[in-house]
Amino acid sequence: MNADAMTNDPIGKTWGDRPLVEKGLVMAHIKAAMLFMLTSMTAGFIISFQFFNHYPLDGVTEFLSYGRVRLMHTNEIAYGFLVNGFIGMMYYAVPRLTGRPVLDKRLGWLIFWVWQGLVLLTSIGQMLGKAQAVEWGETPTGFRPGTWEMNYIPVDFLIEIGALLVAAQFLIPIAKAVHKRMYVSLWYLSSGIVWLILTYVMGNTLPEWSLPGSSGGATVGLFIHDLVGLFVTPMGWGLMYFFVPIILRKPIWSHALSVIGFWALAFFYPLNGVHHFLLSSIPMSVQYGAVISTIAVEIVVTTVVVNFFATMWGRGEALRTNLPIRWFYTGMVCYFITCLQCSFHTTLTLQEYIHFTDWVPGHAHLVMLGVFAFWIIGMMTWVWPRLTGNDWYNRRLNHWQYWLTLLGLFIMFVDLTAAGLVHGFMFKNLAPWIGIIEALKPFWGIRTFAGGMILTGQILFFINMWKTAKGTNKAYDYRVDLVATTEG
Amino acid sequence: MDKFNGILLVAGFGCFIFAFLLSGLYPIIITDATNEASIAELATVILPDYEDLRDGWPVAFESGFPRAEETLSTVGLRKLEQRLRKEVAAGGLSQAQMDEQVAAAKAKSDEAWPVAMAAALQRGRDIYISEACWHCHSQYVRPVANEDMRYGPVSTIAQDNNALQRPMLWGTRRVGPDLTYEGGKRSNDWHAAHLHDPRSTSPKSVMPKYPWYFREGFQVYRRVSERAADLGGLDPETAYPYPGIYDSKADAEAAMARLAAELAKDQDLAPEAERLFVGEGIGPNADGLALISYLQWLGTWRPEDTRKEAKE
Amino acid sequence: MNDRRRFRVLIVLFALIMAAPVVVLVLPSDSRAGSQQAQEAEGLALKDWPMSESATRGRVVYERYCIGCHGNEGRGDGPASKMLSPRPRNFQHGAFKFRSTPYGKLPLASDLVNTITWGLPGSSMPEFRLVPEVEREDVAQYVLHLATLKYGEREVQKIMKREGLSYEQVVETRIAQVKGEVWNERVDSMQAVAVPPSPPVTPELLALGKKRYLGECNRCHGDTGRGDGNSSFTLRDWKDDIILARDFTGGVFRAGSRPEDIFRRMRTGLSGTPMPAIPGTDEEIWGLAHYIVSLKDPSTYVNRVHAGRGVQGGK
Repeated sequence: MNADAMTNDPIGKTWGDRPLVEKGLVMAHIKAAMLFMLTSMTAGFIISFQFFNHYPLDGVTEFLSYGRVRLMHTNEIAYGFLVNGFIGMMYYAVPRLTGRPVLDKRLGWLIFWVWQGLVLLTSIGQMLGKAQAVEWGETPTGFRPGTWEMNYIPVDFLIEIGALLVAAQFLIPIAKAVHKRMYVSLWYLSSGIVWLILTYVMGNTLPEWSLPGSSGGATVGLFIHDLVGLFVTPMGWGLMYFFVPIILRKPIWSHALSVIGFWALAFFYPLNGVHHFLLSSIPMSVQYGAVISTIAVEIVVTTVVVNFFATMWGRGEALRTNLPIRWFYTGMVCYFITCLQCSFHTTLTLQEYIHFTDWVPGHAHLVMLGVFAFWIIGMMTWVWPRLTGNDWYNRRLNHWQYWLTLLGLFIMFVDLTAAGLVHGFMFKNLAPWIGIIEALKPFWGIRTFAGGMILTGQILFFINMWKTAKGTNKAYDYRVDLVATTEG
Repeated sequence: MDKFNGILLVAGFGCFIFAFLLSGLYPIIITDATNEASIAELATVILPDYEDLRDGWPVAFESGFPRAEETLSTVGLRKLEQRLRKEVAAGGLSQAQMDEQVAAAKAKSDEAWPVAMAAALQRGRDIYISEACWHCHSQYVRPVANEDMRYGPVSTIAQDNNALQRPMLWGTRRVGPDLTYEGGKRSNDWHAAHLHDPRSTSPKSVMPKYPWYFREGFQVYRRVSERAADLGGLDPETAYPYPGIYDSKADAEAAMARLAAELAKDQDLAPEAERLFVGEGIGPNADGLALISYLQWLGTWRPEDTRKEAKE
Repeated sequence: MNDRRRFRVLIVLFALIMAAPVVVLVLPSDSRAGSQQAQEAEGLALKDWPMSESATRGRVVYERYCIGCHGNEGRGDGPASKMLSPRPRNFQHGAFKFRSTPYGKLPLASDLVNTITWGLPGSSMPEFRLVPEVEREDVAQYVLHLATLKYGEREVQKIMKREGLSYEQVVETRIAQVKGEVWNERVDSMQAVAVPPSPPVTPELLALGKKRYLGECNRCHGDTGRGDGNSSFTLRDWKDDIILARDFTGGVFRAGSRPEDIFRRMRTGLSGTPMPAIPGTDEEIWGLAHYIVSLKDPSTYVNRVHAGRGVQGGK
């Protein structure tokens, strides 16, 4: 990968008579990702009112009861925001890395509409009560739980077909890539797609019909964590290994470290999932395996963190001048905190207190919003003016978004972590249940406030994107790229 | 490193498969999960709470589940026996005939109960999944944090090995208490009131309301007698409901007429027939009954731990 | 400039979203449970009835756990009560089923604490064993406070008639004295019915119990103890609510299933129900108690007792 290739924006390049990057597809996926992010965050914001009995739809309609809307909150983030965001960014990055366009434009649009349809069908299904009892990343199986009586569109199987289409779209060009040596991003991205399909079949579809009780629990645990570890993580890392050098215009610090990180991920991550059900009736040997490999993974994660900070070395001013880099940097700090936290709280000692408490949602928000969503938003901030050809409608809005989201996340994380500790210790001291609930209500109030900040930030971003796309502003100045890192 | 890519690729997938085998299949091997208990098997034990549900909301129960109208509760059987005994005393029936009739009704009921309850438990479990109750209620008791003092014995691998735990419903968060051993801890009435509006039984609860598992209709009431009103300091308009919520007023009135005819036969109860009237009522519908019966089932199935280590 | 105005609109939008939680927190909450309809105070108003410190603390605990079923003023008319059968107790009426005191008297505070701690299996009263003991004792005091109201009312009316004072005057000058007297007479001087040790369990003792049982108990509880006696479906409690005779063969009793518990139950009766206090010698009543507990599994009862397994742990 030479320096010249790095510095050039792939947009506007051609491959034969085809454009290298299908701009329309990137934009469509980004728009869809933003829409689902907004609906998901709104859902999360609204249901958080339930925790102090002010959920406006409580007892109003069956289809928007707390439990069902919470399903929409987690699953729209998984399949609506993260998958759309990653696919959109892959349409931007993969042709640049392979030097050839994706398989087919029409296939791209087919994937786009099929995927949005599936996410919508998932949400509608969950509103109708066709759920699966998986922590996140679940889709209606289309069958009555544990039986073969059909009661809905089998979204479960359609999603697997959709993922296969995605695999065809990206893996075939990668296989045909002109470059002899694959850049590490492609390793991550292609394995992410393959793992998504495998994980889905193994953890989401199989246990429903074949694995009862403990083994089902263990497998579902694998699924909910593999979706993070074997899909979201490699996608996020792969794209980071692409965008960071491009924006900073310098190669990553160590290619070898990134490859070591990749294989360590492949070897340690799959065993992790059982740590969601520690101290349950799953055999202890499996649980110890999960704990040890979880701690091992956190060492692996350090490779990407070290690689990022080492690449940043000497470019500290970009934090001040370049908003995408600031998003990445913040995300990376959050990533380090999350992973450190993870290696501690996965131990059985801490599990005793923090499992079943608000600590876990705090951790989940830090990793999904603070890390991967921050990264995707950073990438969007970088890509959007290039796609539309217009400069940002209002750059101050971008900064508002950054600070609102960051502050909201920080408040939410600290608040939920503290709530988790309060819950854990009260629980162990045999406090009556209602006493615990009473003690937690103030924390839940603060959480709603923090959620409002985050939601507002994203609304501002959405408005900014909308206005930018409308093109009322001056044209985007590509020379900005060539001068220093004064983006954002 | 590039030379080893192929090996690494195979090893990477190998790791994935290994994780699945270890987590998914190892528990199956050590529990002998091939004999997963089916829902029909779980429904063979008829709990007193099911009988109470059947007596408390007979209309919804009978219309909601297969063969439910053939089931008889202990109280129902007692009533049947008593009625027949009176007929025997009056000479319209021989003792042998009565015994025969009772035995027949009992046999039919014993056969119908598991069928009705299997349907109810499965439906209740489906509702538990679709309302995502597992978001806030866990279903396993850990050996730490004094959980066994709070909820009951630590969960074993054997007691999760049943069809109602597929997909498993352990949950990962407790905004509400653990439900592993919920069955029998509280009455059906309490569950009904609590599901309809959780704040009515636990004023500080944050649980959502589930009014769509209830139906409003008409019910037969009995006005309190003046003597009782006097004695108890009650408003004379106070009334006590007879079980059964009817969708239409006509149905409720028909039921009232049947009840009045029955009461009139008994000397002691004859004055009560005049105090009957039809008013509005509310009670769980078939879905609500299914959910309550699932809650009452939780933790009642306690097979022995079949693991080697547990046996030793 | 135009930009600036739009920007301000966005800030307002933000402020509105931020304010949403605050606004709804101020709005009336639906979580307030209480009486469906507060009845007009007759005679002595509850607020005029002096509360002890413990009962004042108990009121707070009562509002947290009990108010939903037992209602704002303890009349058993909370919002949940309309779906519950048996109905929640009306504390103001003062009839308590499970006591260790004689029939018709107020229970001891410890009896109430027992009921609160373990609940009443088979009814809708759940257990509250995780609530701290101090709080449970305070609630018991508050319940006694509610239960003594009617006695206070009687006294106040007497004084009003005797001395020609108005209600306000009595409340102002004499209420503390009335409270002291009522409390002294109805609560502090209350003593538990003695439960002597059981005579050895022999088939003869059981036969004695059985004889007595078939003499009277079977009318409601049935010959075999299934609760299907001839008059079992005509039973009404003091509120005219239908009440079923207990089925002894199930082995489930509301407040303790050991023979001692049954003995005490028979000595005290269940106030407010057709179940009276049973007269007779201690031996007879013990025989009866053992006979009733044995009905769950009659053939092996004596052997189980002698093997030390007959007496169930109960609570």
